[in-house]
Amino acid sequence: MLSPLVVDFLISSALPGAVVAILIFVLGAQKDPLRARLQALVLALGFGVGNYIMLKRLQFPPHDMPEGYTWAALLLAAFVWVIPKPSGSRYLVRIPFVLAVAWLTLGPIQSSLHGYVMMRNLLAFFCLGVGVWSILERAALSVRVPSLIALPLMSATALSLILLFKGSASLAQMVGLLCTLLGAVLLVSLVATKKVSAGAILPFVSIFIVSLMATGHFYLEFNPWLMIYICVPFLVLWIRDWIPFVPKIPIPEMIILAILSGIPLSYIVWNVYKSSGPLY
Amino acid sequence: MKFAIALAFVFTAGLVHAADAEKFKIDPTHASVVFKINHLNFSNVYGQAGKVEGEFTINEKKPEKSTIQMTIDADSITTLNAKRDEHLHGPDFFNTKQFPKISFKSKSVKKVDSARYEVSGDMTMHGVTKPVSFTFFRFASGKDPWGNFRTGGETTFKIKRSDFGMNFMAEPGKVGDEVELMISIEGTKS
Repeated sequence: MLSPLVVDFLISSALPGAVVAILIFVLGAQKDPLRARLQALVLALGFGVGNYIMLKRLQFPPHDMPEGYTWAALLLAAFVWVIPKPSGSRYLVRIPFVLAVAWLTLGPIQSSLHGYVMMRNLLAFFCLGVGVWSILERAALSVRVPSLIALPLMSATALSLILLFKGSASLAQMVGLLCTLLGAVLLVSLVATKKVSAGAILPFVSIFIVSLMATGHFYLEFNPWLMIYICVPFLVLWIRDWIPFVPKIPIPEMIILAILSGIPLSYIVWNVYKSSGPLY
Repeated sequence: MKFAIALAFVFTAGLVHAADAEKFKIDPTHASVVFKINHLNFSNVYGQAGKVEGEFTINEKKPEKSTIQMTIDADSITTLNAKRDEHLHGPDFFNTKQFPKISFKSKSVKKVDSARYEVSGDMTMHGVTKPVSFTFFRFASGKDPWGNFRTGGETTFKIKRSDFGMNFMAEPGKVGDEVELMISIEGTKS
């Protein structure tokens, strides 16, 4: 007899993850830009279905932030549909999408977002979102796909654990769903690196994760610095070209970069656990 | 002249009618909203709301004209455990950043006997409005030691939190979907 929590995970996360992995693999036979468009759509739909299974509701405009994330995922798939090819100079196109994701996820609490500190932090997370997205797009030109997925996946996992320790099991589950989907895509990229389009995954491993961090701050009042600390893997991707000893081979590159990111990340998460303990 | 008499009659009747309805302001220091929820089938956890406000009118001659409306500050809900309270206020349950108030407004009141009223109305919680009904047991009315006219009573009823979109761990065997509410209020005549 499985624990109800395990059953929930299997139905809401593992099942969509398995389906997404199969579809990403099958669609990998296509060529970009169609492949990027379809893979992004599959990723967004996988997240939407998993989120719907957890929430048992979906409406537009979203009733609350968790529903907003389903629409945000679809919005990012729409972004990839419009601009499927990653390039380093798409600030102006990305900005309205970042603002739209913020509106979908932070809009429900807009009445509490006022005052100097809130405005400053909103601006900071906006810059972090755009900045991390840019880092990933630049990294996509020089880093292999497994590292592009694995390192942000580590950030997302750290966020999920912090959410679990400090205040919201449902949000932790939602981030866990994203981690499962990214894990599934990572698995495909390890088996067949060329089957995964970097253009499809970039928004989901950058702005989507940063917006979840912003949620942790604005909904649960997490220290914004804590959210910035767990961006360490993005920093490693940013400085990847200046780390000479890492081979440019998919799996060894991923392992070494993951170790470099994982050490500080584990320390941060362990400290949060020590100060907070598990959630009730 | 006839018009003036009719006007005076209508005006006087209105005053008499208005006088029938006594308006009370809920005394927040003597208002208790206690809830009971099952925890993993092992036991029940009790909590309460600290900040309750509102008002009610009692119309003795036409009880169906009586009304009640009350508001609870969702952030004041406590189970006397700081970390669990943070969890309760967060997105898993009340999501108080987005839905800071829980409210009830009556739509119909029926007097059953001198001490019982059947009350139906709309309860809004977690951004969702649903009809609820309960029997309100009225206690004594009279002057308190400070000279204020006071009345009150209490009710107990059950709601399903999933009806209000509060689905987190609401499946059987987890944190109870059914929540029992025990509400006791006093009001001073205003």
